[in-house]
Amino acid sequence: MTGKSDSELVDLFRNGDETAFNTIVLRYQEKIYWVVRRFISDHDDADDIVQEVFVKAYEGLRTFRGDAQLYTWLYRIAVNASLNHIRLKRVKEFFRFEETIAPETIEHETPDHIVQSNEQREIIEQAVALLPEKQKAVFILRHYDQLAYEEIATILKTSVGGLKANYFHAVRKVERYVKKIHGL
Amino acid sequence: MSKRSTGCELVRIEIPDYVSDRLGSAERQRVDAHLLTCQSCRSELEQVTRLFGVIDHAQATPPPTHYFDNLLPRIRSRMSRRPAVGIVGKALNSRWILPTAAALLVVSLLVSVPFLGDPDWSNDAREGTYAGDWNNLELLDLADQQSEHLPFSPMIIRQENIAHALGEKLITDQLADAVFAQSMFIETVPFSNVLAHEMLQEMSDEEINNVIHRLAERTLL
Repeated sequence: MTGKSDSELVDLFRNGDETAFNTIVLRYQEKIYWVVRRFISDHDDADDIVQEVFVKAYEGLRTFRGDAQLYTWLYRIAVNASLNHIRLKRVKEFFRFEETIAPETIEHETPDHIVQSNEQREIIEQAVALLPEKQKAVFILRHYDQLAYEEIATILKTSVGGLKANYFHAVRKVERYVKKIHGL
Repeated sequence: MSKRSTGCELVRIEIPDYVSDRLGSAERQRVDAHLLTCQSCRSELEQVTRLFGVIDHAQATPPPTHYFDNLLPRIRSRMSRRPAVGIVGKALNSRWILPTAAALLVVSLLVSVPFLGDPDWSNDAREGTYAGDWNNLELLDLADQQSEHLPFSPMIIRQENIAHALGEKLITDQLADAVFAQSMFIETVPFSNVLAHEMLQEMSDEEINNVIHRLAERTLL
C-alpha cells in the first residue's frame, strides 16, 4: 500500500478500502503536524488541530474532486484549521474582556547556547504570530515547507502574482521584529 | 521613482529566495549583477542571511517521542467518537441548553434590523451592516482589524456573522424552531458565517452565554 500514488490511494479509499486512509495519514502526518506547529506553537493545540485535519480529510475524501493534488488539499485544510484556531482564540479573548496578550519582551542575560536557542525560537514564533494572515501563511509554506509559489497559490486559493511580494514583506517584518527584540 | 530605486525593489523582492538558493539561473544572475553595484541591497542581503541563520538555529521543540507512532490510532478513535452529523443529529445530541428565548430575542433583533432600516447588505465590514443600530465599536474595530488581516478571505468576523452563527446554533439545538430559524437566518441572509459558526461550535456553553450576554447588552441598551 505504501508504494501507491496519492491518486491511487484516494481511489482505493473511495472504493471502500479503509486502509488506504491509514496510508494517507502515515504519509502526511509529519508534514501536516509541522505546518500546523508553525502556526500554533503549542504542541497540544497543534495535536488537536492535526487530528481534526485528518478527520475532515476523511469526511471530505469521498467528494474530493482530484482537481488539486492530495497534499495541497491537505495543506489547505491544515492552514485553514490553524488560522481558524487563531481567530477563535482572538474572539474568545475579545469576549472575555481580555486584551490580546502582546508578545513579551524577553530579558537578556548571558545565555548559554541552549537558552539562547530557545529564546530565539520564541522570538521567531512571536514575529511570525504577528504577521497578517496571508503573509504568515506564505512565510510558513515558503520558508519552512519550501513549497513553490504555484503550490502556495493552490493551497491559499489565490493567484501566484503577489505571493513573492507577500513573502518578501513577511521576511522583512520578521527581520525587523527580531532585530528590535534580539538585536540581530 | 529613479531607475536605481526601481531596480532595488525588483531585486530585494528576490533576496529571500536568493538566500535560500531558490532562484532560477537568470534571476540569480540579475541579482548578482545588481549586488555588485548596490551597497544598500548588499546590506539587505546580509540582514536576510543573518535572519535565516537565526531561524535555522532556532528549531521548534519536537513533539514527544513516539508521537507519530500513536497519531493514527488517535485519529481513528476520534472519528469513532464523532457524533452523527446533520442538523437533526446535532440537535438530538446537543447538551447545549441556553436561555433560548433570550437568545432568540437577541438574534431576532439583530436580524430584523436590516429589514426595518438600511436594505443595503454591504459586505464591507468597515461599513458595518447594522451600523446605524449598533454601538458596538469594539466589534467594528475587530471587524476592521480582521479585514486588514484577511486580504484573501471573505470570512471576516462581523456582527452579522456572530448573529447568524447564533441563529444556526439555535437551529441545531432547537429543532422545534428550525423552520423559523432557518427562514430567519439562512434563507434571508447572505451566507458568510461559516467561520463564526465553527467558532461557536467549539466554544463552551459558558463562553457562548458570554457572547449572548454581550450581544444583548449592546443591542438592548
